[in-house]
Amino acid sequence: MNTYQQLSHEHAPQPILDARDVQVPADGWRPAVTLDVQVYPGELHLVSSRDTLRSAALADALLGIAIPAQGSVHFLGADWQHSPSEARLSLRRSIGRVPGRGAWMSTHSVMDNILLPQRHHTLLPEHALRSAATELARRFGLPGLPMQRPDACNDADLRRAACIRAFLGRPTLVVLEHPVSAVDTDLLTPLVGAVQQLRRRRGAVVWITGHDALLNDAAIPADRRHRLVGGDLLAWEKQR
Amino acid sequence: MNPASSTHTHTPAHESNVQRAPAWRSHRFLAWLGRGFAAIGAFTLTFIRVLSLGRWRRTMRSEMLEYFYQVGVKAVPAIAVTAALVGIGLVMQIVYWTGIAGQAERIGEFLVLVLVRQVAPIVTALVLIGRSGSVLVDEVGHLAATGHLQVLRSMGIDPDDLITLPRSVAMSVAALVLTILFVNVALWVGFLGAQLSGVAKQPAWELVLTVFSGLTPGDQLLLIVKPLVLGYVIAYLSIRIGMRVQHTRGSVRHLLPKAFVSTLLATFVIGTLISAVM
Repeated sequence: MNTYQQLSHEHAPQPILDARDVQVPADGWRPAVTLDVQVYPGELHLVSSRDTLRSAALADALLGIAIPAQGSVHFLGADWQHSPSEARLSLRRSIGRVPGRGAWMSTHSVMDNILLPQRHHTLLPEHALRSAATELARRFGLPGLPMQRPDACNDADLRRAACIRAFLGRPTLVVLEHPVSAVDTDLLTPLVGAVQQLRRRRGAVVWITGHDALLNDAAIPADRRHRLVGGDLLAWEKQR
Repeated sequence: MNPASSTHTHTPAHESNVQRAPAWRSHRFLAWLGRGFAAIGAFTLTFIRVLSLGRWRRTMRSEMLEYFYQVGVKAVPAIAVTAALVGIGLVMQIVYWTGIAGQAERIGEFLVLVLVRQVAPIVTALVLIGRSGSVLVDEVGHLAATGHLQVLRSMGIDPDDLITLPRSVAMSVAALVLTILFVNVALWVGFLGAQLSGVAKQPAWELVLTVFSGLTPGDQLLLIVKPLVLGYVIAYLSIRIGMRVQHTRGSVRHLLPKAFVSTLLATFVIGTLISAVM
Protein backbone atom coordinates (compact mmCIF):
# COMPACT_ATOMS: atom_id res chain seq x y z
CA MET A 1 0.00 0.00 0.00
CA ASN A 2 1.54 3.34 -1.04
CA THR A 3 1.40 6.52 1.03
CA TYR A 4 -1.56 7.95 -0.88
CA GLN A 5 -3.58 4.74 -0.45
CA GLN A 6 -2.66 4.59 3.22
CA LEU A 7 -3.77 8.19 3.80
CA SER A 8 -7.02 7.73 1.90
CA HIS A 9 -7.67 4.53 3.86
CA GLU A 10 -7.10 6.36 7.14
CA HIS A 11 -9.46 9.17 6.13
CA ALA A 12 -12.18 6.93 4.71
CA PRO A 13 -15.41 7.44 6.63
CA GLN A 14 -16.05 4.76 9.22
CA PRO A 15 -19.48 3.19 9.05
CA ILE A 16 -21.92 4.13 11.79
CA LEU A 17 -23.32 0.64 11.62
CA ASP A 18 -21.40 -2.32 10.27
CA ALA A 19 -23.12 -5.71 10.16
CA ARG A 20 -21.15 -8.44 8.43
CA ASP A 21 -22.52 -11.92 7.65
CA VAL A 22 -24.86 -11.68 10.60
CA GLN A 23 -27.23 -14.52 11.43
CA VAL A 24 -29.59 -13.93 14.32
CA PRO A 25 -31.46 -17.08 15.36
CA ALA A 26 -35.15 -17.11 16.25
CA ASP A 27 -35.80 -16.45 19.95
CA GLY A 28 -39.27 -16.51 21.47
CA TRP A 29 -41.51 -14.25 19.40
CA ARG A 30 -38.54 -12.93 17.41
CA PRO A 31 -38.01 -14.63 14.02
CA ALA A 32 -34.55 -15.31 12.58
CA VAL A 33 -32.86 -12.70 10.37
CA THR A 34 -29.69 -12.62 8.30
CA LEU A 35 -28.06 -9.41 7.14
CA ASP A 36 -24.90 -7.93 5.71
CA VAL A 37 -25.06 -4.15 5.57
CA GLN A 38 -22.92 -1.08 6.24
CA VAL A 39 -24.52 2.26 7.06
CA TYR A 40 -22.25 5.29 6.59
CA PRO A 41 -22.68 8.83 7.94
CA GLY A 42 -25.27 10.80 6.02
CA GLU A 43 -26.90 7.73 4.48
CA LEU A 44 -30.55 6.75 4.31
CA HIS A 45 -31.29 3.04 3.92
CA LEU A 46 -34.81 2.06 2.95
CA VAL A 47 -35.91 -1.48 3.76
CA SER A 48 -39.06 -3.02 2.36
CA SER A 49 -40.78 -5.38 4.80
CA ARG A 50 -44.45 -6.10 5.38
CA ASP A 51 -43.79 -8.43 8.31
CA THR A 52 -43.69 -6.27 11.43
CA LEU A 53 -42.16 -9.05 13.55
CA ARG A 54 -39.27 -9.50 11.11
CA SER A 55 -38.89 -5.72 10.97
CA ALA A 56 -38.61 -5.62 14.76
CA ALA A 57 -36.13 -8.52 14.65
CA LEU A 58 -34.01 -6.62 12.08
CA ALA A 59 -34.09 -3.45 14.22
CA ASP A 60 -33.18 -5.50 17.32
CA ALA A 61 -30.23 -7.03 15.44
CA LEU A 62 -29.00 -3.60 14.30
CA LEU A 63 -29.29 -2.16 17.81
CA GLY A 64 -27.57 -5.06 19.56
CA ILE A 65 -30.71 -6.23 21.34
CA ALA A 66 -30.73 -9.58 19.52
CA ILE A 67 -27.48 -11.49 19.82
CA PRO A 68 -26.19 -12.99 16.54
CA ALA A 69 -25.14 -16.63 16.38
CA GLN A 70 -22.76 -15.77 13.56
CA GLY A 71 -21.10 -12.57 12.42
CA SER A 72 -20.97 -9.28 14.28
CA VAL A 73 -22.68 -5.90 14.36
CA HIS A 74 -20.51 -2.87 15.13
CA PHE A 75 -21.96 0.51 16.08
CA LEU A 76 -19.47 3.39 15.91
CA GLY A 77 -16.69 0.78 15.90
CA ALA A 78 -17.89 -1.07 19.01
CA ASP A 79 -19.03 -4.68 18.72
CA TRP A 80 -22.46 -4.96 20.33
CA GLN A 81 -21.92 -8.57 21.30
CA HIS A 82 -18.58 -8.08 23.04
CA SER A 83 -19.30 -4.75 24.69
CA PRO A 84 -20.25 -4.81 28.38
CA SER A 85 -23.88 -4.22 29.20
CA GLU A 86 -23.25 -0.69 30.53
CA ALA A 87 -21.29 0.24 27.40
CA ARG A 88 -24.10 -1.03 25.16
CA LEU A 89 -26.64 1.08 27.03
CA SER A 90 -24.35 4.08 26.82
CA LEU A 91 -23.89 3.65 23.05
CA ARG A 92 -27.64 3.45 22.50
CA ARG A 93 -28.04 6.95 23.96
CA SER A 94 -27.23 8.28 20.51
CA ILE A 95 -29.79 6.11 18.73
CA GLY A 96 -33.39 7.04 18.04
CA ARG A 97 -35.97 4.38 17.30
CA VAL A 98 -39.57 4.39 16.20
CA PRO A 99 -40.60 0.92 17.34
CA GLY A 100 -43.35 -1.00 15.64
CA ARG A 101 -44.80 -2.27 18.93
CA GLY A 102 -44.68 -1.60 22.65
CA ALA A 103 -43.65 1.99 22.37
CA TRP A 104 -45.42 3.52 25.36
CA MET A 105 -45.52 3.29 29.13
CA SER A 106 -49.24 3.41 29.85
CA THR A 107 -48.72 4.86 33.34
CA HIS A 108 -47.02 8.01 31.99
CA SER A 109 -48.30 10.79 29.73
CA VAL A 110 -47.21 10.81 26.08
CA MET A 111 -45.08 13.88 26.85
CA ASP A 112 -43.27 12.03 29.64
CA ASN A 113 -42.74 9.10 27.28
CA ILE A 114 -41.26 11.44 24.66
CA LEU A 115 -38.91 13.12 27.12
CA LEU A 116 -37.95 9.94 28.99
CA PRO A 117 -34.71 9.07 27.10
CA GLN A 118 -33.42 12.66 27.26
CA ARG A 119 -34.35 13.05 30.91
CA HIS A 120 -32.58 9.77 31.65
CA HIS A 121 -29.39 10.39 29.69
CA THR A 122 -28.84 14.13 29.94
CA LEU A 123 -28.75 16.86 32.55
CA LEU A 124 -30.45 19.37 30.26
CA PRO A 125 -32.95 21.51 32.16
CA GLU A 126 -36.58 20.56 31.87
CA HIS A 127 -37.60 23.76 30.07
CA ALA A 128 -34.91 23.26 27.42
CA LEU A 129 -36.06 19.69 26.79
CA ARG A 130 -39.70 20.72 26.59
CA SER A 131 -39.00 23.59 24.24
CA ALA A 132 -36.92 21.38 21.89
CA ALA A 133 -39.62 18.70 21.94
CA THR A 134 -42.40 21.26 21.37
CA GLU A 135 -40.55 22.66 18.36
CA LEU A 136 -40.22 19.15 16.90
CA ALA A 137 -43.89 18.49 17.68
CA ARG A 138 -44.91 21.56 15.66
CA ARG A 139 -42.73 20.44 12.76
CA PHE A 140 -44.48 17.07 12.84
CA GLY A 141 -47.88 18.77 12.72
CA LEU A 142 -48.91 18.64 16.38
CA PRO A 143 -50.04 21.80 18.20
CA GLY A 144 -47.78 20.92 21.14
CA LEU A 145 -46.69 17.98 23.28
CA PRO A 146 -49.56 15.55 23.98
CA MET A 147 -50.25 15.62 27.72
CA GLN A 148 -52.72 12.73 27.86
CA ARG A 149 -51.99 9.05 28.51
CA PRO A 150 -51.10 6.92 25.44
CA ASP A 151 -54.40 5.00 25.55
CA ALA A 152 -56.29 8.31 25.28
CA CYS A 153 -54.24 9.46 22.29
CA ASN A 154 -55.18 8.60 18.69
CA ASP A 155 -52.93 6.49 16.48
CA ALA A 156 -51.87 9.36 14.20
CA ASP A 157 -50.72 11.49 17.14
CA LEU A 158 -48.88 8.54 18.67
CA ARG A 159 -46.98 7.99 15.40
CA ARG A 160 -45.93 11.63 15.43
CA ALA A 161 -44.98 11.40 19.09
CA ALA A 162 -42.82 8.34 18.33
CA CYS A 163 -41.03 10.33 15.59
CA ILE A 164 -40.48 13.28 17.96
CA ARG A 165 -38.94 10.96 20.56
CA ALA A 166 -36.68 9.33 17.96
CA PHE A 167 -35.33 12.61 16.52
CA LEU A 168 -35.05 14.48 19.83
CA GLY A 169 -31.52 15.02 21.14
CA ARG A 170 -29.52 14.95 17.89
CA PRO A 171 -29.17 11.19 17.45
CA THR A 172 -26.40 9.62 15.33
CA LEU A 173 -28.62 6.86 14.03
CA VAL A 174 -32.39 6.60 13.74
CA VAL A 175 -34.17 3.32 13.03
CA LEU A 176 -37.75 3.78 11.84
CA GLU A 177 -40.02 0.74 11.92
CA HIS A 178 -43.12 1.41 9.84
CA PRO A 179 -43.44 5.03 10.99
CA VAL A 180 -46.07 6.02 8.41
CA SER A 181 -49.41 4.25 8.00
CA ALA A 182 -51.11 3.94 4.61
CA VAL A 183 -53.90 6.33 5.60
CA ASP A 184 -51.72 8.96 7.26
CA THR A 185 -49.45 10.20 4.48
CA ASP A 186 -49.42 13.75 5.94
CA LEU A 187 -46.64 12.56 8.22
CA LEU A 188 -44.40 11.76 5.25
CA THR A 189 -43.31 15.34 4.45
CA PRO A 190 -42.19 16.35 7.97
CA LEU A 191 -40.58 12.93 8.43
CA VAL A 192 -38.54 13.26 5.24
CA GLY A 193 -37.59 16.78 6.40
CA ALA A 194 -36.34 15.43 9.75
CA VAL A 195 -34.45 12.63 7.97
CA GLN A 196 -32.78 15.12 5.61
CA GLN A 197 -31.79 17.37 8.51
CA LEU A 198 -30.22 14.41 10.31
CA ARG A 199 -28.32 13.40 7.16
CA ARG A 200 -26.93 16.92 6.82
CA ARG A 201 -25.55 16.52 10.36
CA ARG A 202 -23.85 13.28 9.17
CA GLY A 203 -26.31 11.08 11.00
CA ALA A 204 -27.81 7.99 9.37
CA VAL A 205 -31.30 6.56 9.05
CA VAL A 206 -32.59 3.02 8.51
CA TRP A 207 -36.22 3.28 7.44
CA ILE A 208 -38.24 0.04 7.38
CA THR A 209 -41.51 0.36 5.51
CA GLY A 210 -44.25 -1.87 4.19
CA HIS A 211 -45.15 0.48 1.34
CA ASP A 212 -43.26 -0.38 -1.83
CA ALA A 213 -44.37 2.96 -3.29
CA LEU A 214 -42.04 4.68 -0.83
CA LEU A 215 -39.07 2.73 -2.15
CA ASN A 216 -39.70 4.05 -5.65
CA ASP A 217 -40.60 7.57 -4.50
CA ALA A 218 -38.11 10.06 -5.94
CA ALA A 219 -38.95 12.46 -3.09
CA ILE A 220 -37.24 10.09 -0.66
CA PRO A 221 -33.55 10.32 -1.48
CA ALA A 222 -32.39 6.90 -0.26
CA ASP A 223 -28.76 5.86 -0.68
CA ARG A 224 -29.49 2.15 -0.45
CA ARG A 225 -32.67 0.16 -0.86
CA HIS A 226 -33.18 -3.31 0.59
CA ARG A 227 -35.88 -5.89 0.86
CA LEU A 228 -36.43 -8.19 3.83
CA VAL A 229 -37.45 -11.53 2.31
CA GLY A 230 -38.09 -14.46 4.66
CA GLY A 231 -35.72 -12.96 7.21
CA ASP A 232 -32.91 -12.28 4.69
CA LEU A 233 -31.96 -8.66 4.09
CA LEU A 234 -31.27 -8.44 0.34
CA ALA A 235 -30.30 -5.55 -1.88
CA TRP A 236 -33.37 -4.19 -3.69
CA GLU A 237 -31.74 -4.46 -7.14
CA LYS A 238 -30.56 -8.02 -6.50
CA GLN A 239 -34.05 -9.09 -5.55
CA ARG A 240 -35.66 -7.50 -8.60
CA MET B 1 -30.15 -54.06 10.49
CA ASN B 2 -30.74 -50.37 11.07
CA PRO B 3 -29.00 -48.58 13.96
CA ALA B 4 -32.22 -48.14 15.93
CA SER B 5 -33.00 -51.87 15.98
CA SER B 6 -29.43 -52.75 16.92
CA THR B 7 -29.63 -50.37 19.87
CA HIS B 8 -32.79 -52.07 21.07
CA THR B 9 -31.17 -55.50 20.65
CA HIS B 10 -28.19 -54.67 22.83
CA THR B 11 -29.68 -52.20 25.33
CA PRO B 12 -33.16 -52.88 26.65
CA ALA B 13 -35.30 -49.79 27.10
CA HIS B 14 -35.81 -50.23 30.86
CA GLU B 15 -32.08 -50.72 31.38
CA SER B 16 -31.21 -47.50 29.56
CA ASN B 17 -33.84 -45.65 31.60
CA VAL B 18 -32.36 -46.96 34.83
CA GLN B 19 -28.90 -45.81 33.75
CA ARG B 20 -30.06 -42.39 32.57
CA ALA B 21 -32.29 -41.45 35.48
CA PRO B 22 -29.55 -40.32 37.94
CA ALA B 23 -27.81 -38.18 35.29
CA TRP B 24 -31.11 -36.59 34.30
CA ARG B 25 -31.93 -35.83 37.91
CA SER B 26 -28.49 -34.39 38.63
CA HIS B 27 -28.74 -32.15 35.53
CA ARG B 28 -32.08 -30.82 36.70
CA PHE B 29 -30.74 -30.30 40.19
CA LEU B 30 -27.67 -28.49 38.85
CA ALA B 31 -29.87 -26.32 36.60
CA TRP B 32 -32.11 -25.52 39.57
CA LEU B 33 -29.05 -24.72 41.70
CA GLY B 34 -27.66 -22.53 38.93
CA ARG B 35 -30.92 -20.62 38.62
CA GLY B 36 -31.00 -20.17 42.39
CA PHE B 37 -27.46 -18.76 42.48
CA ALA B 38 -28.21 -16.55 39.47
CA ALA B 39 -31.32 -15.18 41.21
CA ILE B 40 -29.38 -14.46 44.41
CA GLY B 41 -26.61 -12.84 42.36
CA ALA B 42 -29.11 -10.65 40.47
CA PHE B 43 -30.80 -9.65 43.73
CA THR B 44 -27.45 -8.73 45.31
CA LEU B 45 -26.32 -6.76 42.26
CA THR B 46 -29.58 -4.82 42.18
CA PHE B 47 -29.27 -4.08 45.88
CA ILE B 48 -25.69 -2.83 45.40
CA ARG B 49 -26.96 -0.58 42.60
CA VAL B 50 -29.58 0.82 44.97
CA LEU B 51 -26.79 1.89 47.32
CA SER B 52 -24.77 3.54 44.50
CA LEU B 53 -26.20 7.01 44.86
CA GLY B 54 -24.44 8.20 41.69
CA ARG B 55 -26.70 5.94 39.61
CA TRP B 56 -29.87 7.70 40.72
CA ARG B 57 -30.78 9.77 37.67
CA ARG B 58 -33.71 12.18 37.68
CA THR B 59 -35.97 9.68 35.89
CA MET B 60 -35.31 7.16 38.64
CA ARG B 61 -35.91 9.69 41.39
CA SER B 62 -39.21 10.85 39.91
CA GLU B 63 -40.28 7.23 39.32
CA MET B 64 -39.53 6.46 42.96
CA LEU B 65 -41.54 9.44 44.25
CA GLU B 66 -44.46 8.68 41.94
CA TYR B 67 -44.49 5.05 43.00
CA PHE B 68 -44.17 5.95 46.68
CA TYR B 69 -47.30 8.03 46.28
CA GLN B 70 -49.08 5.07 44.65
CA VAL B 71 -48.10 2.39 47.18
CA GLY B 72 -47.45 4.48 50.27
CA VAL B 73 -49.72 7.50 50.43
CA LYS B 74 -52.69 5.85 48.73
CA ALA B 75 -52.44 2.83 51.06
CA VAL B 76 -52.89 4.96 54.20
CA PRO B 77 -56.70 4.43 54.47
CA ALA B 78 -56.36 0.64 54.01
CA ILE B 79 -53.61 0.44 56.63
CA ALA B 80 -55.47 2.73 59.04
CA VAL B 81 -58.66 0.65 58.88
CA THR B 82 -56.74 -2.64 59.26
CA ALA B 83 -54.74 -1.23 62.18
CA ALA B 84 -57.90 0.05 63.87
CA LEU B 85 -59.46 -3.42 63.62
CA VAL B 86 -56.27 -5.01 64.99
CA GLY B 87 -56.29 -2.40 67.76
CA ILE B 88 -59.83 -3.34 68.80
CA GLY B 89 -59.28 -7.07 68.36
CA LEU B 90 -55.75 -7.49 69.70
CA VAL B 91 -54.74 -4.53 71.88
CA MET B 92 -58.05 -4.38 73.78
CA GLN B 93 -57.90 -8.14 74.31
CA ILE B 94 -54.37 -7.96 75.70
CA VAL B 95 -55.37 -5.10 78.02
CA TYR B 96 -58.39 -7.06 79.19
CA TRP B 97 -56.65 -10.40 79.77
CA THR B 98 -53.54 -8.97 81.41
CA GLY B 99 -55.91 -7.17 83.81
CA ILE B 100 -57.75 -10.42 84.57
CA ALA B 101 -54.45 -12.27 85.08
CA GLY B 102 -53.08 -9.52 87.31
CA GLN B 103 -50.26 -8.76 84.84
CA ALA B 104 -51.40 -5.23 83.90
CA GLU B 105 -47.89 -3.83 84.41
CA ARG B 106 -46.62 -6.13 81.62
CA ILE B 107 -48.95 -4.74 78.91
CA GLY B 108 -46.07 -2.89 77.22
CA GLU B 109 -43.90 -5.98 77.13
CA PHE B 110 -46.68 -8.13 75.60
CA LEU B 111 -47.56 -5.53 72.99
CA VAL B 112 -43.96 -5.00 71.92
CA LEU B 113 -43.56 -8.75 71.51
CA VAL B 114 -46.81 -9.34 69.61
CA LEU B 115 -47.74 -6.10 67.86
CA VAL B 116 -44.49 -4.24 67.21
CA ARG B 117 -42.23 -7.21 66.43
CA GLN B 118 -44.67 -9.52 64.62
CA VAL B 119 -48.16 -8.34 63.70
CA ALA B 120 -47.52 -4.80 62.44
CA PRO B 121 -44.71 -5.59 59.91
CA ILE B 122 -46.37 -8.78 58.65
CA VAL B 123 -49.91 -7.37 58.29
CA THR B 124 -48.52 -4.27 56.56
CA ALA B 125 -46.59 -6.53 54.19
CA LEU B 126 -49.76 -8.56 53.51
CA VAL B 127 -51.70 -5.39 52.69
CA LEU B 128 -48.91 -4.31 50.33
CA ILE B 129 -48.87 -7.73 48.64
CA GLY B 130 -52.61 -7.68 48.10
CA ARG B 131 -52.93 -4.03 47.19
CA SER B 132 -49.76 -3.34 45.18
CA GLY B 133 -47.89 -6.59 44.51
CA SER B 134 -50.38 -8.02 42.03
CA VAL B 135 -50.78 -4.63 40.32
CA LEU B 136 -47.02 -4.46 39.95
CA VAL B 137 -46.84 -7.94 38.39
CA ASP B 138 -49.62 -6.99 35.97
CA GLU B 139 -48.03 -3.67 35.05
CA VAL B 140 -44.50 -5.01 34.50
CA GLY B 141 -45.88 -8.13 32.81
CA HIS B 142 -47.78 -5.92 30.37
CA LEU B 143 -44.63 -3.91 29.65
CA ALA B 144 -42.74 -7.15 29.01
CA ALA B 145 -45.47 -8.73 26.89
CA THR B 146 -45.82 -5.66 24.64
CA GLY B 147 -42.07 -5.48 24.11
CA HIS B 148 -41.67 -2.19 25.95
CA LEU B 149 -38.79 -3.48 28.07
CA GLN B 150 -36.87 -4.17 24.83
CA VAL B 151 -37.79 -0.71 23.57
CA LEU B 152 -36.35 0.78 26.77
CA ARG B 153 -33.11 -1.17 26.23
CA SER B 154 -32.91 0.08 22.65
CA MET B 155 -33.13 3.65 24.03
CA GLY B 156 -30.18 2.88 26.30
CA ILE B 157 -32.34 2.64 29.42
CA ASP B 158 -31.88 -0.40 31.64
CA PRO B 159 -35.35 -1.55 32.80
CA ASP B 160 -33.79 -2.39 36.17
CA ASP B 161 -32.71 1.24 36.53
CA LEU B 162 -36.06 2.67 35.54
CA ILE B 163 -38.41 0.11 37.09
CA THR B 164 -36.81 -2.36 39.53
CA LEU B 165 -34.63 -0.03 41.59
CA PRO B 166 -37.01 2.93 42.11
CA ARG B 167 -40.06 0.81 42.75
CA SER B 168 -38.30 -1.59 45.14
CA VAL B 169 -36.93 1.33 47.16
CA ALA B 170 -40.32 3.10 47.12
CA MET B 171 -42.09 -0.04 48.34
CA SER B 172 -39.42 -0.51 51.00
CA VAL B 173 -39.80 3.04 52.38
CA ALA B 174 -43.59 2.78 52.08
CA ALA B 175 -43.55 -0.44 54.13
CA LEU B 176 -41.52 1.28 56.87
CA VAL B 177 -43.77 4.35 57.04
CA LEU B 178 -46.96 2.28 56.92
CA THR B 179 -45.71 -0.10 59.64
CA ILE B 180 -45.01 2.82 61.98
CA LEU B 181 -48.45 4.20 61.16
CA PHE B 182 -49.97 0.77 61.80
CA VAL B 183 -48.36 0.49 65.25
CA ASN B 184 -49.57 3.98 66.26
CA VAL B 185 -53.13 3.56 64.99
CA ALA B 186 -53.49 0.08 66.53
CA LEU B 187 -52.21 1.24 69.92
CA TRP B 188 -54.27 4.43 70.06
CA VAL B 189 -57.51 2.79 68.88
CA GLY B 190 -57.01 -0.21 71.19
CA PHE B 191 -56.15 1.85 74.28
CA LEU B 192 -58.87 4.45 73.62
CA GLY B 193 -61.38 1.61 73.18
CA ALA B 194 -60.17 0.01 76.40
CA GLN B 195 -60.39 3.31 78.27
CA LEU B 196 -63.86 4.19 76.95
CA SER B 197 -65.23 0.71 77.66
CA GLY B 198 -63.77 0.77 81.16
CA VAL B 199 -61.39 -2.18 80.57
CA ALA B 200 -58.33 -0.01 81.28
CA LYS B 201 -58.03 2.22 84.29
CA GLN B 202 -55.09 4.28 82.97
CA PRO B 203 -55.49 6.97 80.27
CA ALA B 204 -54.67 5.94 76.68
CA TRP B 205 -51.65 8.23 76.29
CA GLU B 206 -50.05 6.71 79.39
CA LEU B 207 -50.47 3.18 77.99
CA VAL B 208 -49.02 4.23 74.62
CA LEU B 209 -46.06 5.73 76.43
CA THR B 210 -45.61 2.47 78.35
CA VAL B 211 -45.32 0.53 75.08
CA PHE B 212 -42.86 2.91 73.42
CA SER B 213 -40.70 3.20 76.52
CA GLY B 214 -40.57 -0.59 76.62
CA LEU B 215 -38.87 -0.76 73.20
CA THR B 216 -35.26 -1.95 73.47
CA PRO B 217 -32.67 -0.80 70.89
CA GLY B 218 -33.05 -4.25 69.27
CA ASP B 219 -36.83 -3.79 68.99
CA GLN B 220 -36.35 -0.33 67.47
CA LEU B 221 -33.87 -1.69 64.95
CA LEU B 222 -36.24 -4.54 64.08
CA LEU B 223 -39.10 -2.08 63.60
CA ILE B 224 -37.00 -0.33 60.95
CA VAL B 225 -35.18 -3.24 59.29
CA LYS B 226 -38.04 -5.72 58.99
CA PRO B 227 -40.45 -3.50 57.00
CA LEU B 228 -37.61 -2.14 54.85
CA VAL B 229 -36.47 -5.63 53.85
CA LEU B 230 -40.00 -7.02 53.42
CA GLY B 231 -41.11 -4.09 51.24
CA TYR B 232 -38.02 -4.35 49.07
CA VAL B 233 -38.38 -8.11 48.59
CA ILE B 234 -42.13 -7.89 47.77
CA ALA B 235 -41.52 -5.31 45.04
CA TYR B 236 -38.40 -7.03 43.71
CA LEU B 237 -40.08 -10.44 43.42
CA SER B 238 -43.23 -8.97 41.83
CA ILE B 239 -41.18 -7.11 39.22
CA ARG B 240 -38.95 -10.09 38.44
CA ILE B 241 -41.94 -12.38 38.02
CA GLY B 242 -43.65 -9.78 35.81
CA MET B 243 -40.54 -9.47 33.65
CA ARG B 244 -40.59 -13.22 33.00
CA VAL B 245 -43.67 -12.83 30.80
CA GLN B 246 -41.48 -12.21 27.77
CA HIS B 247 -39.70 -15.53 28.28
CA THR B 248 -42.62 -17.75 29.14
CA ARG B 249 -44.91 -16.06 26.58
CA GLY B 250 -47.80 -16.85 28.89
CA SER B 251 -50.38 -14.31 29.88
CA VAL B 252 -49.78 -12.18 32.94
CA ARG B 253 -52.85 -13.67 34.60
CA HIS B 254 -51.13 -17.06 34.88
CA LEU B 255 -48.26 -15.53 36.83
CA LEU B 256 -50.40 -13.74 39.42
CA PRO B 257 -50.98 -16.77 41.71
CA LYS B 258 -47.28 -17.65 41.52
CA ALA B 259 -46.32 -14.09 42.38
CA PHE B 260 -48.79 -14.04 45.29
CA VAL B 261 -47.52 -17.31 46.77
CA SER B 262 -43.86 -16.37 46.25
CA THR B 263 -44.17 -12.98 47.93
CA LEU B 264 -46.25 -14.47 50.75
CA LEU B 265 -43.71 -17.23 51.43
CA ALA B 266 -40.84 -14.76 51.23
CA THR B 267 -42.61 -12.48 53.70
CA PHE B 268 -43.06 -15.22 56.27
CA VAL B 269 -39.58 -16.73 55.84
CA ILE B 270 -37.75 -13.39 55.92
CA GLY B 271 -39.95 -12.07 58.74
CA THR B 272 -39.21 -15.14 60.86
CA LEU B 273 -35.48 -14.99 60.11
CA ILE B 274 -35.21 -11.31 61.04
CA SER B 275 -37.20 -11.86 64.25
CA ALA B 276 -34.95 -14.79 65.13
CA VAL B 277 -31.75 -12.82 64.52
CA MET B 278 -32.80 -9.57 66.24
